Amino acid sequence: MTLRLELAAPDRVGLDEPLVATARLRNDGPDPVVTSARLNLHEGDLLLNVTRPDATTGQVVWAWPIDSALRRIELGPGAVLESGVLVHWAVGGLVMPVADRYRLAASLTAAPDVLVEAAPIDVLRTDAADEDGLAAQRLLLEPDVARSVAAAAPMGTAAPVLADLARRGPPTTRLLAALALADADAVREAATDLAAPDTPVAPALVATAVVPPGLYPGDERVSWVVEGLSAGPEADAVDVDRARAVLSGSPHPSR
Amino acid sequence: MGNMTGDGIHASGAEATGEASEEATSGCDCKEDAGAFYVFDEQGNLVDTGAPAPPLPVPSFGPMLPVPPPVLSPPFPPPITARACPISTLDGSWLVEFAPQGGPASPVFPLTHIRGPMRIEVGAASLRISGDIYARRMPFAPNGPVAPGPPRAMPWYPQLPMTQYVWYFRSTGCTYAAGQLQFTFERRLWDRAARTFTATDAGRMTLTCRRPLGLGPRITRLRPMTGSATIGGRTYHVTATKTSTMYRGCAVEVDAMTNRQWPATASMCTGAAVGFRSVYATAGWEVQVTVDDTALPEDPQLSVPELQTLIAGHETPATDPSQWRMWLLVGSAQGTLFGLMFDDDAAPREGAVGFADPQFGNDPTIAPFARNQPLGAVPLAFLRTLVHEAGHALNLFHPKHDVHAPPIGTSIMNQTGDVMGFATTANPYPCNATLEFDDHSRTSLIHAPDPQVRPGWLNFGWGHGSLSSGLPEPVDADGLRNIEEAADLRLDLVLPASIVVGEYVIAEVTLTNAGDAPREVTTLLNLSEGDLQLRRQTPDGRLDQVRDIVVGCGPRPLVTLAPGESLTGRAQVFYTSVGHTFTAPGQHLVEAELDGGDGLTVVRSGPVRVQVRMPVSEAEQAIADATLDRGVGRALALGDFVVDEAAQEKLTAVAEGHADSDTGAACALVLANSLARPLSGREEEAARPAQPEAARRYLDLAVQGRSAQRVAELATTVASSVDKDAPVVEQALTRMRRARKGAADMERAEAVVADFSRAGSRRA
Repeated sequence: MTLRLELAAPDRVGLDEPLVATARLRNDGPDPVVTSARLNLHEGDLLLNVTRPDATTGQVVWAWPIDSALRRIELGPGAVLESGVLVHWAVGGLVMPVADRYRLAASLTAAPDVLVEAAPIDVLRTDAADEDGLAAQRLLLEPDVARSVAAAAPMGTAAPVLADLARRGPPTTRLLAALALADADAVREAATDLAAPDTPVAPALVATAVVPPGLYPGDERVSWVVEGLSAGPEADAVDVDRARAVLSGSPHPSR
Repeated sequence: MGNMTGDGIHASGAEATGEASEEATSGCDCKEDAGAFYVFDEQGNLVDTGAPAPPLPVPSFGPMLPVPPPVLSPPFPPPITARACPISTLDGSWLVEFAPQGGPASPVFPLTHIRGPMRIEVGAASLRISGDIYARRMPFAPNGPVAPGPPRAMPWYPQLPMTQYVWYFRSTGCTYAAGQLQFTFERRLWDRAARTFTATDAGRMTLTCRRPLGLGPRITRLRPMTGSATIGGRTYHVTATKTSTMYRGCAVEVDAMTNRQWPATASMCTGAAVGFRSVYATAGWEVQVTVDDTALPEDPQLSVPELQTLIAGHETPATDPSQWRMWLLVGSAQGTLFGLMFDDDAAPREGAVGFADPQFGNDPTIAPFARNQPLGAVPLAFLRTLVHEAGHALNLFHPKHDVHAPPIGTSIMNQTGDVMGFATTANPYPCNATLEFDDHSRTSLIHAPDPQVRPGWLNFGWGHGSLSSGLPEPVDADGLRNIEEAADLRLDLVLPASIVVGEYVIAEVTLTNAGDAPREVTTLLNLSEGDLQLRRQTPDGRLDQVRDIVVGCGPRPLVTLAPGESLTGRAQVFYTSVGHTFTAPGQHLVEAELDGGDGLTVVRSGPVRVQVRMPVSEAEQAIADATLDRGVGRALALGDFVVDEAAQEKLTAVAEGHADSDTGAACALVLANSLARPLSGREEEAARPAQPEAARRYLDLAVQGRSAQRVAELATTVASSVDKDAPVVEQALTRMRRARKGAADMERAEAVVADFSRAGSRRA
């Protein structure tokens, strides 16, 4: 087995932004490998388990069960397939509703008889540190808002709240809200802001967590994220290529 | 299946005879097996045939119930007018009804109609039984058994109001011999307010199946089975009437977008025809498909909100709310998705969609006739997706997500992509798809409890873990306290959406006559006197009941509400029967339940979400440090610190240091109330003399910078609801009049005080 799955996330994330983890599937072997390209929670090849503060463990199952076709991809030696993973709303409700420590474990069914497991990671969710953050935190825990963020579409009565979240708050929250509203300017602006302190890959990961490229090819919101990247500070060209690969669901060379 | 009546779905094909007619078709390879003997284990598998075995023991889970000696028939005499049914006759859906032996258990409710569907699945070497029981109380009906309804034509499926659901049962071992079916079962008791199973116990049932002599082996005239059941320590007469040779039924309404086709039938690669109905029939389900609107407006991409709008606008309104039904859309596309069960609103799992437009690729493992074709142009594949999505509406999971870990393969509930993963050039997709449910999904469809399966009931995902936990108290067949909900009343509960630990909290309930006739209701909209209670689910999933720390007893004042009129009451929920109510950070779900006033019904508010967080700012922390003291909590609940000087000190600190917050104002009002009157001691001397000046000062603090309405809400909730003479209420009103608050504001404040004084005031 030459495939390796990694799950990554910041050690500490405030509850004023949904957690977007990163799933990376890497071919460590010398030969190309054909694998499932469905590196997302939506289609279920990627399975995510969360261990909650009370020590119970549950599977994070995408809230809207879908049927879709098989999509495979060839990963060359050293190539990486990378995607964002939204850990916020799933079957059963909010995944991380309270400030505390959570453990995440992921696996991918790369082929019907090939299961690749990632090392578990711990994430500390904290209450927001200021009044604005606490307001955003409260709003993000509202079911309609949380559903909207995950579905990347305004659900129920969430639209005005999403508009508020798209204007202020952490860039991840702003970008997710803007994607849900399909607000081109807000998407570009949030993508630019999110890329600035991190790398261009960050907004790409957030976008793919809710709009997986293989499931929604040609979604215009992805092009707005790309435009936002271009408007940001000059970044390492390799990182920009990596971000574009993430957004298109294509492999990129390992760094 | 077809027309609907009160308790279920009627058939249109068979003749109504009063005695069900059926064609014996399945089960245990037994044609004329009246003398055969079968023993089935806990999982329903055949473990023995031949000599009769001793009676079944009640399984050893939960508390052992006092089970009387088993009621076994004497050695079966040769029947004169009837003979034992073959075991295959048992297979299918039954209406099972219970009546207590020895008369009703309660003089208040002389008659409770306890009935529901029972499913008996007779396999080649198995027999499994499950059922869902619903109870309705009929206080004014004459004592005695419920008169049988008019005979119904098979097939039909007992589908009953969710509000009457009381328990689920499933066999844990069966025998069938000489026409006598004996089985033990475990019972899961349903709590309607918590919407889950909260207790478990065990029972036993014996039923005798006879058919008249003289009819051929293929067509039998089946009489109802009769027998007895031991449930919760009582014995019941049982009657079971067969309703279908299948197990469950559901109406499916199909709407299609313009230029998209519903695949009514499809050809398998073997040439055999298959349809939506025939696939569900393999799981013992009878689905009645009605293709309704086939010209929904074109929309090339359908988002989830758009799908929710479509179901709201196009699903035909239900004529019978008890009917099981779902809505299926033949839609265009959402990205490359083939299908989606999108309905996750308050009545979940009632809608799903198959997308006709996404295209197959050109992979050699895709059948030539499907390559580069849109899904809608490949009827077999499209039908598979639609059956799959409807399966989600019946709460089936993808095998790869199911905690029961059914095998991943080519059966219906596997995603298309997973089935394609097993395709080869020799056996390409969709030829390799199995148009049947895997064993786990099939068992779930047949035997899982109604709340899990029925569209519109429990959320998607329920039932794929543990059903319930906790040890039960033996209860009778009425189940837990599951009084019916009043259809003509509405209860609204208002709580702050977010609370900081240590913050004073008020709950407001409004009871409205939503019917079209005057309605007598209780005026006791408070947490002290028993008519109103709050149920709360903490962030860790624990359930508790929240009441006042003071319990008042007395007559129940009633008032008649005209249609549209409402009553409002308020109560503090800062410190209650559970102590400080909101100390656990996270999401709390709170529901109010009020006795309908007639002893027969309750009205519930539906859950309200309250997000609780820890203090962050210095002020919040200081308030919490003081108010989380038990003495302060009790003072805020009673409206009086009595002689607790430590509590008085903390109340004073919050009142003076944080008068800008409602918690500070509430503390000030407690002080004002306490100090406005002397507290009697055991001797002649007052335990606490009145300090009217100080009381006025605290009243001033509470009134400053606050609307009259808010002051009234705070004053009427810090005053105990059983202390109508609490001085703070009237004094606050007088003080606000003097403060020249706005007229409209004062009017609202006076209404709040009236709510308190009259324990609720009527408003149109």
